[in-house]
Amino acid sequence: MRNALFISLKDVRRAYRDPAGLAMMLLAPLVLTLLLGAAFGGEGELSLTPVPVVLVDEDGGESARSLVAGLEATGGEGLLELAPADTREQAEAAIAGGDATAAIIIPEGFSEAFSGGWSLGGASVQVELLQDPASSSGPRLVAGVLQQLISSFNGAWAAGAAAAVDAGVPGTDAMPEADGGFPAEPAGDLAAAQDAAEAAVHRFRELQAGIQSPEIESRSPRIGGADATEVSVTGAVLAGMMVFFMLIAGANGARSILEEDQAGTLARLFTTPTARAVVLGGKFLSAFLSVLLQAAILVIAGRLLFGIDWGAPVAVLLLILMGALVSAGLGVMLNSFVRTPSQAGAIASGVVVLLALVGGNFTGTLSAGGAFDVLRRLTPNGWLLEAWDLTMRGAPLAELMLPLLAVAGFSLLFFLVGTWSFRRRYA
Amino acid sequence: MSAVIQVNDLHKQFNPPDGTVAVDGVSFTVAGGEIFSLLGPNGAGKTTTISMLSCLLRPTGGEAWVAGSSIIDEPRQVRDHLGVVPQEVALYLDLNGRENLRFWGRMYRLGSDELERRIDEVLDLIGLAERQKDRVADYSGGMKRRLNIGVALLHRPEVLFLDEPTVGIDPQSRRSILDGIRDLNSAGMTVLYTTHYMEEAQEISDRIGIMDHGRMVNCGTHAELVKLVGEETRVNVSVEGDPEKVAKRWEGLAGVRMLSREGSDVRLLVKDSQDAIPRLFQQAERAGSRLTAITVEEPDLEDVFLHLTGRELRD
Ligand SMILES: Nc1ncnc2c1ncn2[C@@H]1O[C@H](COP(=O)(O)OP(=O)(O)OP(=O)(O)O)[C@@H](O)[C@H]1O
Ligand SMILES: [Mg+2]
Repeated sequence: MRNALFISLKDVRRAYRDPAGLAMMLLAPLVLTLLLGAAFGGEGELSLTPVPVVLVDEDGGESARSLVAGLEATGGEGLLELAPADTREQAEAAIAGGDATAAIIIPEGFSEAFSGGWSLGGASVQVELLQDPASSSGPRLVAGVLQQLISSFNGAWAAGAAAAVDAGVPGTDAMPEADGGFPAEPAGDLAAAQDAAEAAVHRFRELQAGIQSPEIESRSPRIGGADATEVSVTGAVLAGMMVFFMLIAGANGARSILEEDQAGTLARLFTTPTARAVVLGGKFLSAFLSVLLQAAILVIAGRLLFGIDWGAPVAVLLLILMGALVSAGLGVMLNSFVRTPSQAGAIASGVVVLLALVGGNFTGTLSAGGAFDVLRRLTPNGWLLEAWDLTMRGAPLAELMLPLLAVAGFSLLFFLVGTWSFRRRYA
Repeated sequence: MSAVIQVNDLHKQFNPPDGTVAVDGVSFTVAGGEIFSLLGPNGAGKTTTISMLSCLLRPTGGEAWVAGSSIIDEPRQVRDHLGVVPQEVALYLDLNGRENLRFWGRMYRLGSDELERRIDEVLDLIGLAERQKDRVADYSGGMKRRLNIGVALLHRPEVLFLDEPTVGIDPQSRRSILDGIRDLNSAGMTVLYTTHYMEEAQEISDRIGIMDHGRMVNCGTHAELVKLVGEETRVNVSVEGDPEKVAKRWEGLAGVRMLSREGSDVRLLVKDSQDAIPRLFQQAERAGSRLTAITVEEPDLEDVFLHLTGRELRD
């Protein structure tokens, strides 16, 4: 078994001694990231295809209308593509039909909650976000926008409320009771105004928490609006490039099986007391370790050169591991079907480029939504990118489990097929 | 000593049922401490035979034992006792000499301390100690060949297979390789050697198996094989004038067989040189040519091959 390790260490040493190979593994993704990052506008926002969103205003009141106006204004920036609908059912149908990635529903009573302050007796107002279960980044963006709008709404409202208290407007004195039964202070009192401001902040938190993941599809992950952080352009681009070049490196690494076959060293290995299964296992391990090292270097380089915040270390580690695993697996499988290294090179690059196009490696980690979001989940790299996107946004580990499981599934499949095929050839 | 290599009616057909029959019923035995050569032209089936004996290819028929273990049922045990030097150089050209030896030594399951010691010994043996830190890609052909052999010696195998280890290298390297093999053999290693150079087979082997078209045509010591040619003697003649015309006339003579003709040099096998040589002069004169040199030799393996197959060893 130890010999498998010796074989892979030998291969990693050879791979990292080859200047052309190194350029392909490490330099190319970094240089491309630099170029593409600049093309996207350096530190600015990633240019996006607008996310199609259905908007249902069940309330129709003044506050609801201003929220709609706010959303439309954001839509003008090319982030969202808003389409109004009359009912919740229509919105659900639009999502189910793939016409929209998400729907925002402003429920009845929304405006009243704002104008009536706490006199409603603390009835919580929920702006609902329905999302396409097959998509996560689209809805995530919508949640972010919505969050921002509601925050500013609350800010304005809190200021207004404080002013109203200050001016002794009646109707605001019920507030403290709703907030926990403190005795009401006379209007115009400074303490009351402070309380009002505090309460406004409290209310603001309530509203924030009110943005909920919908019940349209039980599998859809909860969207925590508050943790949606921006992903840097370079982070998104480098993640795409890194995963792409990991797939390439995995294919190249596994191709060394065929190269050794051609050079006669594989046959020679088979004449040594090292078992064939160990030799092949060692070659699989080589591909994995090469890619693992590549990913580790790229992640560190991304951090040091571009200041990318990749997210939680544990998540990053898991993603690197799973990425290397699936890249090596794909490489093993692709190489197991062909005879010569040159055939393998041609076929592998074709397949990897196709996967990268479908999986979204060249379009950044944010999706265009709709059918594309479903399609990319047919690829291991699509799942990987989704997971990278999530980590970079600071999503909790639990949210990474689905993509990671999917990637693990792909890896298992690839290795099984590749092992079966290679064993048939060499056993 | 008992047989260390025992081959019984080995067959190999590639891509059956219609593929090439590369080995067609080969049998031989090699005693412990012997050097046995398989001598045959290109495509005779030497490499295929060695590949089966090193458990790389599965025979389509027959059976063989190496160092007491069956190549079919106990390949693992066979490989433990075996060093194989493949016909084509099988090394990692982008690693240096020492790195190559270290890696292959690991594959032969040598532990670190013993391995480093053995690497030094082998480097001395193959004369590459000074070049051990150079990339193998920068070695000469002869140096690569020597390292190719060195790899198979690391674990002190009981049995060594060498498949045409001297092809395409200068006489000096060839000399040192042949001497090295002799030394290893003196130390008790059993050697199975393949070549299509009859001089090599003659020089190095205790016994020789002559192969052609996948069959073992004959097998024995050099002396035994040469006896097969019988009473015949080899006569080498240089012709001045029209060698082609002269050769035509000689072919018609009784007790004379044409071996080869290269330009003005003609080689013949004759039954009785005393009787034949005057006739050769006679015919040459009639063809209007002169004989400028004539030598009479004992027949060699070249002649044996011709005698046995009706064809020349060198094409
Ligand atoms: N993998 C293979 N598939 C099909 N045919 C093969 C294969 N390997 C060898 N052969 C055929 O088997 C025959 C014997 O080949 P082999 O390599 O054993 O000859 P050899 O005696 O080693 O010749 P050489 O002196 O050229 O090395 C040849 O006709 C060759 O074409
Ligand atoms: Mg051969």
